[in-house]
Amino acid sequence: MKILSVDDSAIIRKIIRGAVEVLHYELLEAADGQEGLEILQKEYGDVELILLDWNMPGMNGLEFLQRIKADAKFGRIPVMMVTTESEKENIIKAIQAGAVHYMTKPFTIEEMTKKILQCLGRDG
Amino acid sequence: MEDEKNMTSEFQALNKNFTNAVLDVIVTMTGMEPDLLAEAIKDENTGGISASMTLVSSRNILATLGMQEEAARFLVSYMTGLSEAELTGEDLCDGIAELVNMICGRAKTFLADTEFGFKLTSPFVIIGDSYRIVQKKNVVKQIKSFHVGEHVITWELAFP
Repeated sequence: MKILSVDDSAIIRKIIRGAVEVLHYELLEAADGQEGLEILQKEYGDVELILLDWNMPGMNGLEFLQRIKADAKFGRIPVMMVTTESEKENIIKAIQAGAVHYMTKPFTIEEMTKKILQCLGRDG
Repeated sequence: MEDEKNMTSEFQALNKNFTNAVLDVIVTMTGMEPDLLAEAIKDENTGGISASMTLVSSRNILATLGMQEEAARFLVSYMTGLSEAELTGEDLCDGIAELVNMICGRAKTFLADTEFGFKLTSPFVIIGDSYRIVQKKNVVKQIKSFHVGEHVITWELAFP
């Protein structure tokens, strides 16, 4: 059971790791969209959720989202945006591109674990 | 350089939203409630770690969060749940840059649907023992200091 975090901030990935480990998932980490795609190529069968930042160098979060949703292998994996981008226009773009949840930074560990469980359908 | 007394009411309104964003982000990410000091400690922003971001709008703004390394270690430790000893220098820079990113993002949310819209840019970090950040003349500068635990952090906005 694995969750992929794609975020250029190592600190945010460490914070997310804390939330993911509480839920007994393994965290895979990518610092940008390209690295995220490379990890997915190897691990897509085990990845149950992707936590995705928006603003990253190289391939940004929206581009990454559009790429994976267009791919038959990766398209089934739910994606939650985790970002400082709060413009309504951008939230709509992400949802239209296939994100199932949109979480704005800052967040508490409790909020993060709750949202992860919602995305995994384990909040009941 | 002008001070708060000379600021227009629009910048005072803008400042209030940023101050609230600092409080909101730090309490959410660390669980520590910052205490806004009545008087800014202006010398605190020399040395240590500062993270800045340019906010792009009709008048670009430079936003800076500054603190000594001990304060950065304390905050990032609370953010991550890792002990202070486990944190590397890179962790501190990344953590303080991420705080600035979140503070500016939060202020942007507070200011959505107002005349003060702006675009975020990538934060950058300045580290060293005795640097000062100096703006050109005629820059309106607002500095706020906060106690977080035993430490002081400084938030600064500079408007050209």
